[in-house]
Amino acid sequence: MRPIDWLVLAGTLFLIVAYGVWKTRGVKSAEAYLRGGSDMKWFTIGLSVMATQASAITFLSTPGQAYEDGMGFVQFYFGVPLAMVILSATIVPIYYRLRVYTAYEYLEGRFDQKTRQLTGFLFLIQRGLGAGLSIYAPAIIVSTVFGWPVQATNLAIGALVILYTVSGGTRAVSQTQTYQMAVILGGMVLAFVFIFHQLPEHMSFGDALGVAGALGKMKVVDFSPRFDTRYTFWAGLTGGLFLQLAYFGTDQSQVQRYLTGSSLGESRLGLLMNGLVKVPMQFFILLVGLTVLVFYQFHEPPVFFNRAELELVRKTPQAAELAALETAHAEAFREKRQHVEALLAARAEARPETAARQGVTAAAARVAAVRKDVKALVRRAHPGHEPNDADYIFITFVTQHFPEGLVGLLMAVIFCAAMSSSASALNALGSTTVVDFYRRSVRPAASDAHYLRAAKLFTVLWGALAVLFATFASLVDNLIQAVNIIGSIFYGPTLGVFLVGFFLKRVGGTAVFWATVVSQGLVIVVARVSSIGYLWYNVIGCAAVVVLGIGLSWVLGEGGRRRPA
Amino acid sequence: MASENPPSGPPSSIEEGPPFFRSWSGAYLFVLVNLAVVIAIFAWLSWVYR
Repeated sequence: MRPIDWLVLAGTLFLIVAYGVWKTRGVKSAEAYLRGGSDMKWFTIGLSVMATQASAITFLSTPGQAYEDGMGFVQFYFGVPLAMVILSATIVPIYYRLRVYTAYEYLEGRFDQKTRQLTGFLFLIQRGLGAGLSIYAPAIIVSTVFGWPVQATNLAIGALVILYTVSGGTRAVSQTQTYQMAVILGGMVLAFVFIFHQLPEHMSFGDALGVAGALGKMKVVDFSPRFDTRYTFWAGLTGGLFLQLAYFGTDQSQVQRYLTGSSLGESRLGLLMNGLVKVPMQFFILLVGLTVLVFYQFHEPPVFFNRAELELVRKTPQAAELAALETAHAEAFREKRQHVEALLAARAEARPETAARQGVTAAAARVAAVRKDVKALVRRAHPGHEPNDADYIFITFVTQHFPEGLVGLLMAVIFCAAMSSSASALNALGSTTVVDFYRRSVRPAASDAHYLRAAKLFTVLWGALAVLFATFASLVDNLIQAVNIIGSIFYGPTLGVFLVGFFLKRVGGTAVFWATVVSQGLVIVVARVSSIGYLWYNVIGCAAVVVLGIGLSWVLGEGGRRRPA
Repeated sequence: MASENPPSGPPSSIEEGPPFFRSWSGAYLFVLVNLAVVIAIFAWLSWVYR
């Protein structure tokens, strides 16, 4: 990073954090702190909801995902628009009617205190882990690339987030997210324009997609009905729908965002805006990665994108083997480039492309085989080290090819994304701890000022815990995957509790409580022993709670709900 | 801090209509049709650049 990059990064972060603290300096009540004053408009809610879901991992990993596996990851988001419509029509009006602070408050009215606190507890576990990982994952990647101390990066992200989240609560989180999203989207558009201009002059957008297609990366939609394929049309619409329903409907970090609306209509519109924009936005981020892939068809990429890891291998007895693989990679790359240029010539002259495409496919397979050997070498040289370099692809491109200033802006994008998602998480963790546990079971009749202080204190504590967890997160393998899997393990049973609450009026609290405990155990066992794609955990957990809830309710002779919703 | 689950709703009525559509059903339909169109475009791209 050069001085101008530091200036852009520090200036952007300082302005956003200072704005958040200044704009929300008048928060004096627990109501304003926890619900943000209930005066947000749909546009702010929509951006806030999007910023909460889009973590730094989204912007580091997604382009790398397109580079490695193509555009199919977008199917993961097909459930979002459906979930937004279902939630707007069903759950959101109920939250508004009951005027709850947290999603879990509803469950005490419908079932009992133990069910409310069980789901609140499951949320605290998974979101607490998630908050730590959402700080650590970008910190480890940018620290590795720039040679920064990872603990200092963890601390910097954590301290900035804690500062404005504790200062202004929910309102500060939503207000800053509006500007963070502007930086994120603006930065990604600029990145795309810049990368596209680095492609050969004669190359059109259609040519770029044609090259990506020849490399097998343009299978955007996969209709094959396979359970062991992670991203398909069907997995996106079913497993993805359950995950999104659970995430947006029952995860307090999202519920808290849209409960800031000045009316039910504003909240609904904010969610529908997310439903309209989310899939095209993710497609665009994948497209950035695809453009990087096309760029690297004309410029030789590193054989392995985590350069720090590669340098470690060079200091081991496997260094000679690595050098041989790098030579093989360079030869395979040159051969591939010739076939890609032949393909482009065939396209330009409207000649048949079959032979050139076959050449591209064969050469790409050789490059992939060399990369696979390098990953195996990394694993062999340092057992336990992460041989997956997909998360380093985009940031490597940024640092090596972006001009001064744009590198700083892209770093600001990554930091903004890390801060926006972890701020929502800390805000929700503090709120749930105060509303569902402290006020409910420890101090039920304290003053408003007391609850405000408690909410701030718990937010600081959760922030400190997240930074502490981030400090020790290197013990966890494959961080990026861990974030998604942790969510999917806990969301299914939680969604099941809410669905039983809304639609199965004869199932009571004790039945659904034990159904949740058993189903949660079942999902953990399935996650450990089976090879089922993680999106299906959401369906399994949810279905298990519903089926067991009905069964136990019948066995226990328990029926009726305590309060109509 | 307000008591738990007070019966009163938010400041404005929960029965209000959407600002850009005749009804909420219309707004929901718009989002779903948009998804169908986006998936159709993706399927077309997959076929053209297969």
